[in-house]
Amino acid sequence: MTDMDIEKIADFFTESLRQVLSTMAGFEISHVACDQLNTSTDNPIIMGAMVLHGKKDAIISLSMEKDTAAMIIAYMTGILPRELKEQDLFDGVAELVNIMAGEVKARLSNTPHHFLLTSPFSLGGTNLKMVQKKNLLETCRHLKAGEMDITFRIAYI
Amino acid sequence: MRVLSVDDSSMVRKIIKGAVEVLDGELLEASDGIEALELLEEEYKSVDLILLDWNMPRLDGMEVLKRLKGDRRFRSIPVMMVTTESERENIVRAIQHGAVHYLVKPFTIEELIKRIMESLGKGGL
Amino acid sequence: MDVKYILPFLESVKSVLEQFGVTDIKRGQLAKNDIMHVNQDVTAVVGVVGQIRGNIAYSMSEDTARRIVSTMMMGMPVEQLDEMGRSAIGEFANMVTGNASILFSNTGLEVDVTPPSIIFGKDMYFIISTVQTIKIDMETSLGKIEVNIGLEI
Repeated sequence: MTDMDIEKIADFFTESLRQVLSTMAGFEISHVACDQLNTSTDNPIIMGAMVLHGKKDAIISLSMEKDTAAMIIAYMTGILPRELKEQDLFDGVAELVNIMAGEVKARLSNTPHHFLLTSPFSLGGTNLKMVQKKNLLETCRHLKAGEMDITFRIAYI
Repeated sequence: MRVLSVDDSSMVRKIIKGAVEVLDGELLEASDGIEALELLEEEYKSVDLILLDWNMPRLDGMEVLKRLKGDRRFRSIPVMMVTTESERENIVRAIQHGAVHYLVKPFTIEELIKRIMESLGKGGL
Repeated sequence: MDVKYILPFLESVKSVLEQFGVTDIKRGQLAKNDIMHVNQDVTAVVGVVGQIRGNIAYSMSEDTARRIVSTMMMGMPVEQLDEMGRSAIGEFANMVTGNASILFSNTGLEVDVTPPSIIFGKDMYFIISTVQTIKIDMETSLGKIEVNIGLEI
């Protein structure tokens, strides 16, 4: 695993997410480098995440403001945002991670970076910050669809 | 038309519900394999199609598929896999075990509706 | 859920805390949990693969986290969870999960426990599984550590 590998893998994930959101919600996303992102917001955040089990384990996460999650899931299900329950948002973001990871899993299946999926999980709160042990390989992508911001992160742990 | 969706994601079940309602159908829901089999014990006579996820808690979709096809009461109900498992060998395995269709997530709602209709046609009603 | 899959995750908390001289650890009752948890500031999540699959989350308040860090640093006062404090909590979680791995291998169960990811936040709540989770509170003199177990068996 090198810096270049992880960047390429991160691109696979963002490409997969782009496809998921375009196919299932009709959103077109563009992405910009992560360091251009001002992450500090006091608005409630929902984060979906999953541990990938491979030769080296990794964790991936998608975080977005709660309103963004509601909008995406509303478009995916055809249910109005205000009719979505909190639990629907948690489940929806976790499933987004699941679908995105499933696609990348197939793509990497015959490479040294192949991995198995574990169960996705999701968290809500404000000022969420995920930390792993130091000196690990990690990278991120900042995705935009209109006014909506999504942050993808992958870290080898 | 009654369709059973077996998926641990309530979001996916909601998407499927939308598609089934477009077809004037009714959706039954189960969030894992065990729940699906329990529900079928009661309802199998009136279920026209089963949409089955692969990775689920307690009992996964492949195992459910094998049990369905190994039980004479359930055998004739067509099963379509709806899953993120997109590796070729898995698709082949599911078809070999009797799935009539295999839809990989992500899918568009149009695709889902089309596949549901096709699966119902293929299902040997 | 078979208790043999749960015990190593609890025993490891106890044994790591004991290494730091914390002895008054009481394990609460196993409770089936609503899948959402509210009001914790620090959560360490680990993935589990092998004979069982799922996630384990260790959650605590910021106060408890500060007391744990302080204890790890021989009683040095810890006013807030800065970068060093966060890294210390990461280390604590690492020791706990490393210990759980050893306990699993001692019992002959094929269970891999991944390294932890620690999430810090305010008003944090989470869902670690689509199946019902089990919650066990570990009451210690440093505060409460909630162990949430969401395993697909």
